[in-house]
Amino acid sequence: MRQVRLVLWILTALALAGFAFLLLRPPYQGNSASTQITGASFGGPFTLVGSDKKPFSSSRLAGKPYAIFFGFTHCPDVCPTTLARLVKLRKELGKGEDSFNIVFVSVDPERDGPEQVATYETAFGGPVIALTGSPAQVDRVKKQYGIFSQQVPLEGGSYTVDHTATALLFDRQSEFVATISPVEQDAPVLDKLERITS
Amino acid sequence: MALPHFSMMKRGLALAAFVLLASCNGPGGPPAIALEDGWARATSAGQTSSAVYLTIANRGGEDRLVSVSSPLGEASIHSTTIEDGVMRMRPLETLEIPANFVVELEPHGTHIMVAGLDSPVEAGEMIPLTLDFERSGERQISARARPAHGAGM
Repeated sequence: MRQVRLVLWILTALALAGFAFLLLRPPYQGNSASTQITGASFGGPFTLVGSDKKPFSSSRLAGKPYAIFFGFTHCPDVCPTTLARLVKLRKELGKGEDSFNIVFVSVDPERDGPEQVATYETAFGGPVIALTGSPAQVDRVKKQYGIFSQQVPLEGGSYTVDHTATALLFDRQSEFVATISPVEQDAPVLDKLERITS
Repeated sequence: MALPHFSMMKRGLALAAFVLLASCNGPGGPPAIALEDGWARATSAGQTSSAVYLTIANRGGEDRLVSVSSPLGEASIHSTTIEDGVMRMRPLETLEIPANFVVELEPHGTHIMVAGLDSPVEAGEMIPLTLDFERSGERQISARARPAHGAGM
């Protein structure tokens, strides 16, 4: 039993080291002209635009843990799947919808106006804070959170957006705690949500 | 073509073994396509695209999905890959359906996108789709929309 526990601890340490590597390595080259993130200092004050068309200051997130995910509303697969999963896991955590905020930021401000992101606030069976902004505002926030995104033209003049699909978790001091990968199982994600809300 | 998911490969291999034993049907034989478990994600007002997921079970020779269409909007085959944390969605011209193989279209993988929806797809509503296969011809399926908050994973 003790050996099993030791092995589990070693695996946990390895997993943490892996996360640390993912977080600390240089951001994607496409952002090389931008400010480099040093250490794990994700986040920081920002102003975006809420679904009510009014400026949304990050100070409104203060004092409560939050999960933040960047995507776009024309995304039919990964974005709704991730938000639906966060809402579902917040229910499974059993601490109420007030236990942490789920924040969605559009990386497609050209198409996602306030009305557009508003559709994401109510679509997933629990409250989501959906934000957009000017392209410059969104770019700044992407850098603060280490998010990559890039428009990719499609036939017919439309485009899709490649983007970081990892959600970031912050505690009630707005300190970065962990990430959620879209391909991660529910159990470790619930552990992380437990950590940010404890 | 996107690499098949591992679990899909296992199912595919098991099915392949079964079918080969049962029928000795080679890859050049006639395909036997069945479309199963079609579902879609309901959309809310303002959302203009949804994804349809289904299982394409082929108990015969190889085939290829060459086009998809829906009366509700512009349908296209898409692959999703997640590499280094970055999600990339790309249109696929065609989707290979290997002989004796089950191809699963599922969240975070290959899916059929229906874009340009005029009105929201309510939970319970059906999205009709026509899938055109190179050898099997046209096949219809209706994908029932699941509530967005209960769908996925």
